[in-house]
Amino acid sequence: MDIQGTIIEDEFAEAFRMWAARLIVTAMNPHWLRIAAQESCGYGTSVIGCDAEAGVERWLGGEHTPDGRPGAALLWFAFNAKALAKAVPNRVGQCLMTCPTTAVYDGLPEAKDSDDARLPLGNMIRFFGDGHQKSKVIADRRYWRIPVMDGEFLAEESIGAVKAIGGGNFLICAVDHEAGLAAAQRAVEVIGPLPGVITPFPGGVVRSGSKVGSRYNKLFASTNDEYCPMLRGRNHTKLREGVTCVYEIVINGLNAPAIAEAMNHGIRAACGPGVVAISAGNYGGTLGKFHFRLREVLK
Amino acid sequence: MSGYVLTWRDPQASAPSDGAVLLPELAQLDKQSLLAMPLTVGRDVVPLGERFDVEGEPGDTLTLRRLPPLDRLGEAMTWGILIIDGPAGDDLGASMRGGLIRVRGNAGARVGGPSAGRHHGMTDGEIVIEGDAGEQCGLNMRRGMIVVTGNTGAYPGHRMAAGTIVVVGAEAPSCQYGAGLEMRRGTIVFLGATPMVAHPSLAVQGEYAAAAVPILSLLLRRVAALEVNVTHPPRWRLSSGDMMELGKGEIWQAI
Repeated sequence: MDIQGTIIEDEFAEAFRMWAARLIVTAMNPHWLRIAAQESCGYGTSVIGCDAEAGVERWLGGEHTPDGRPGAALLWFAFNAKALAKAVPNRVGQCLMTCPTTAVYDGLPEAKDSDDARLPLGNMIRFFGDGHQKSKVIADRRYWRIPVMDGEFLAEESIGAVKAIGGGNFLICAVDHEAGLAAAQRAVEVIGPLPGVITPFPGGVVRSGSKVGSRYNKLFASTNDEYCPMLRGRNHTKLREGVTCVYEIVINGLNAPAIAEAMNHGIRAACGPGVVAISAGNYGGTLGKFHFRLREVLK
Repeated sequence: MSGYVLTWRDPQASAPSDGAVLLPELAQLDKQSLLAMPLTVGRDVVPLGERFDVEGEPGDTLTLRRLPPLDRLGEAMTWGILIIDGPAGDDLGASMRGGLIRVRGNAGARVGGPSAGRHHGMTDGEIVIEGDAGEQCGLNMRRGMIVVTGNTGAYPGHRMAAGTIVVVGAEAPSCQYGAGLEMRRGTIVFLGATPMVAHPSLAVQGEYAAAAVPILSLLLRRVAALEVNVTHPPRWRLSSGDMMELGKGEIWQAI
């Protein structure tokens, strides 16, 4: 199978169960909103070393936010609900409460079933108010109001968390850096507006894709050597002739259809001159329960 | 929104003695049971169907029409929707605990206040008055929301412990006289232009751009969701109090 001359390998992406929370963040203007999103999603690429995988799902106009101000929907993923419950108030407290004019709302208010989780947010951060905090209940939703130096920081009492999926991916195998980066950027650009997904790595792109395991006991992940072009000849390689640069697009999503759609759009955008093949990362299918076969998502 | 519409047959006749029995729970009865329900009118106890025309079917909404202003309508209400097509008397929604009351007319004193013998006023639910409310609107209120599209009498939010009062009209000086007296917590919002006559134990906290106070946008959006026309003023003045009490109450006035 090929698209615009790019070979689609008969491979699959192996993805994992994760938990996700969606926060709606608003600010007084787009400048401070961007800073809030950037800071709170920073150091949020991989749960291998970060407390969460974080990104902007989409930017929201005032007509789509609870308070009518410019906003963003942020998706944060962690291994489990407990890890997410720790990461969320930490990130909100350190990166959103500190940022001028922000407010934070629950982006998954429907997460109330026994399969879902409610993570305390305002309920935890309120103590920063040192007794001066207040709450307001509006239509059965409680908002904590913490007095701060520019007025008050508004944070909803709790936010919903749901079972989600992390690690959808595809590998762009290109002839050189220029072609690889251009393809990766095209892919990330078309994935950006799609609902329910984020690409948590820098600019949405991973240059240091990993494999499970290492010769060093203390590391549980190490470089994906079969896709490292400079190891060709020294090592078993999965790279086709002519490939000198590989970039991985990792996609986390609220559900499998959202990831499949993102992969479909992203791969199609990436294909073209200079891109020899599209492949995908997996672990033999034995670790992650979600498999996205490239040739099926592209149907 | 389904339920019954009860129309008082003879406006000249004596009104029901106890407005508190006319609750949305009646809307869940089958029609026969509703018509047969005993109703105290003066010294008489008569079937409800003798004094009211009843239309509709079981549901969650009870609408009352052509009644004189009865006291204690919606008292201790926990659920459902009560619509009063006309004026309401005093103590509307006394000690209310849930549901929605809508008055298409004026209401008397102590809207959302405490029932006789109780300390707290309403603790949950929403009351919308499409007209004016009397004195001490939200007396001893402990949560929930009251929206008044016109003016209130003096002392709105008297001894308020929590909850929200939004006065959309707020053009009459009376409605801002003594606002928040002995208030402990809670929020009073005045959208009209009349300056507040602040009593001395309120502390003026300054003026704020609306975009810097998102909680007010949330409140006004909730008011709009209750089908009340509101504008979103660009600036607000904040007073806090009552400083002789806990001091965590707030009064926002549109500028």
